[in-house]
Order: sequence, then C-alpha cells, then structure tokens
Amino acid sequence: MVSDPSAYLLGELDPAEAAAFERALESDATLRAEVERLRPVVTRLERLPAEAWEASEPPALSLPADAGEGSAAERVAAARRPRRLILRPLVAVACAVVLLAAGIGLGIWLDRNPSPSEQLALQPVGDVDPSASGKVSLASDGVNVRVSGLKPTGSGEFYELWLLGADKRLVGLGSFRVNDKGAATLTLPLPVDPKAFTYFDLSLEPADGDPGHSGVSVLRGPSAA
Amino acid sequence: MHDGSSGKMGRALASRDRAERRLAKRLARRDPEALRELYALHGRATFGFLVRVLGERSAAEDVQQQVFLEAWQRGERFDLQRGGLLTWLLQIARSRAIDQLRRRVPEPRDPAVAVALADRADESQLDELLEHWRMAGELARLPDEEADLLRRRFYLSQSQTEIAAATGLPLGTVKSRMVSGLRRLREALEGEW
Repeated sequence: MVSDPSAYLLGELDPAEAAAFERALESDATLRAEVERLRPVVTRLERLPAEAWEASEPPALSLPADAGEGSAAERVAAARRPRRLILRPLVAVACAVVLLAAGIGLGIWLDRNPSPSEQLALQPVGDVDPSASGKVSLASDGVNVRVSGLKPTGSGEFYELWLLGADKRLVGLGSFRVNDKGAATLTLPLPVDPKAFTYFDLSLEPADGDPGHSGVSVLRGPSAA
Repeated sequence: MHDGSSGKMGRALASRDRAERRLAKRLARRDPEALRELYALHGRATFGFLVRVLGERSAAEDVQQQVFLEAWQRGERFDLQRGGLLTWLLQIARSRAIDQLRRRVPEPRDPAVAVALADRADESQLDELLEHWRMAGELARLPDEEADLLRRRFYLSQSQTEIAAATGLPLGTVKSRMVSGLRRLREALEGEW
C-alpha cells in the first residue's frame, strides 16, 4: 500500500519498501504533505511517557457552592479535618501499654543513634499507599534504614535503596525484602557522601538480573538534613 | 485524502468543535452540569499532569479542585479562539501547580521535574509535561477503536502486523484506523505546534 504513510512513519517498512515509498513521496506532493503533517504527531506519541497512557483516576469533583453543592473549599477542608478518635476504656489501656512500649523502644533506639536530628524521612512517591513511610539515618558503619507500610515483596522482586543526584546520577546502596507487613529495618553500607546527592530513593525492583533502577520509585526523601 | 476519509473526519471534528463551543457556553452561563461534563472530559488529563508535576497525589487532588473551581468562576472568560477547553484547563493547572510548588517547603518529588521547578530555573520542563498531557487528553477523546490501536503501537510497542494478529482486524484496517487516529490528533492539536 504505497499511499499508506503509517508503516513508513512507524518505521515498519523494510529497506526496499521504504525506498519505494520515498520515491512515491518525491512524485506525490499530496502524499508528501500528508507525511509531513503526521510526522510530528508520531514523534510526540513516541515521546509520551508511560503514565500518560495509564493515567490514574481523578478524585470526585467537588462542586462549588453556587453550583448546587457545598463549596470546593469546604469540601477540601472537610476531607482534611482530622477524624475524632474514640477509645473504649480497655482499648485505651491497651493503647497506652503499646505507646509506652513504643516509647521505651524508641528511647533505646535513639540512644543507639545519638544524632536523631540526622534522621531523614522518606515519603511515598506517586500512587504508592500514602501510609507507607521510611526513615534513614547516617551511622558510622553505613546508613540505617527503617521502612513500613510498603507492599510486601513477592517472589521475584525486592526493594533497593539508591542515592539519586539532581543530574540523575544513581548509586545503589543495597537491596532487601520486607516482611508480610511491609516493614524492614536494616543497615546498608554507604560508600559515597550523601551530601553530594539530592535524594535517597527506594525502588521496587524485579529480579530480572538488570542492575539498573527499575524506574518504579516507592519512597523518596532528601539525602541531607 | 487517499482513502477518502478526510471529509468524514473533518465533519467529525467540526461536530466536536460545535460540542465544545456549546459546552463552553453552558459553562459561561454557570450550568453545573456543564462543569460535571468538563470534568468527565478532561479531569483525568489535568489530574495526571498535576500528579506528575507535584509528585504526590494528595497535593494534586487539592490543586485539581482549585483548577475546576477556577474554571467554574472564570467560565465566561474562556475564548475558544485561543485554544480548546483542554488547553485552557491545562494552563490553569500549570499556573496553580507553580503556585503550589513555590508556596510549599521543598519536599521529595521527581527530580527530573520538580528540582528545576523548585529552583525556578527551567519551566520549559513543565511545558513539556503540559504537552504530554494535552496529547493524553486528546487521545482520550479519540474513538475507542483508534485510541486502542495507537495505544498498542506506541505504548505496548506492537507492530501493525502484531496488532492485526492480536485484534483479529485485517492489516489494512489497522493501517487505515491508525492513520485516521493520527490525522484526528493532528487536527485537534493544530495551531499548537
């Protein structure tokens, strides 16, 4: 189909077919114009990032007050209004015990990590569960990592911590898996100065033998306080 | 042109323009249903853009509401001569996203975009993202059978022959629908190059 420009624009013709098409282009001004009109569209589609093809569902529209429902500002405020926590007495006692234990544990942990001010928070990236979180802190023997709320690692995948520079320079620090609650605590070696980078970045990696970043970042935070 | 479909497509585009003009008029008259339709048509594109720029869904959700509130309040100022509703909404989203980035304390975002924005060094990256999401918005308005073929080709990297095998369509139909989709996109984006 010499007059069909799609295979030519998509690079799907073999050399002989492409040569024949180009000869047709020389003699057919209409075809030439068509190819030139469509070429920028093809280029833009080729450059379209994956997320533009898999756009996430937007939130429900909050109609303004004068559109018949509560105002958008009121709805946003309502969405952000903290929920009131109501505890039954026994539950309250149990919570107190848990909080006390957590406090003691935190005290012990902080005591082992004398510079809590250097703890750096990792926050969810993109559509990752907003309850996921992480903390990293620099230690003499590496970087302490604590993550929680992540998707449990299935077979054939793992998490990897990276240092990421503003120039997209990446240094992998090490990989690990999380428990069935999505949590892990570990220390990884730190062979470079994190101040020379911009972010700690945690990615989910497939066990495909590729040592590069998968492009699936789940948590990220600054690499220096 | 060669397959004689451009007249049909031109009519379809003219029809779409008329529908867009009617929707804009209803928005200017402050018809709530028009705002809902606008959101259904373009909410996904603006939200995708905002999530990508702001790097977090919760912030994007807030700004998304601001964008459509502003569209509601400024509907009478929309001028179709200066671009379509999608372009207009994305421009509002761009402005509100910049406001948000400049207002908040720096926090983790995708460095490929937000680092430069935080430094106000290069808003061209933002414009490039805007173009991506304008294209995504226009793709969403294509007839399903054309959008599906383009998605297979450009997102799933299937060849036309593979698409024909996967869909059961004759190869000639795959080619003609693909060209039709490309033409439709070209027409929709005309004047924005």
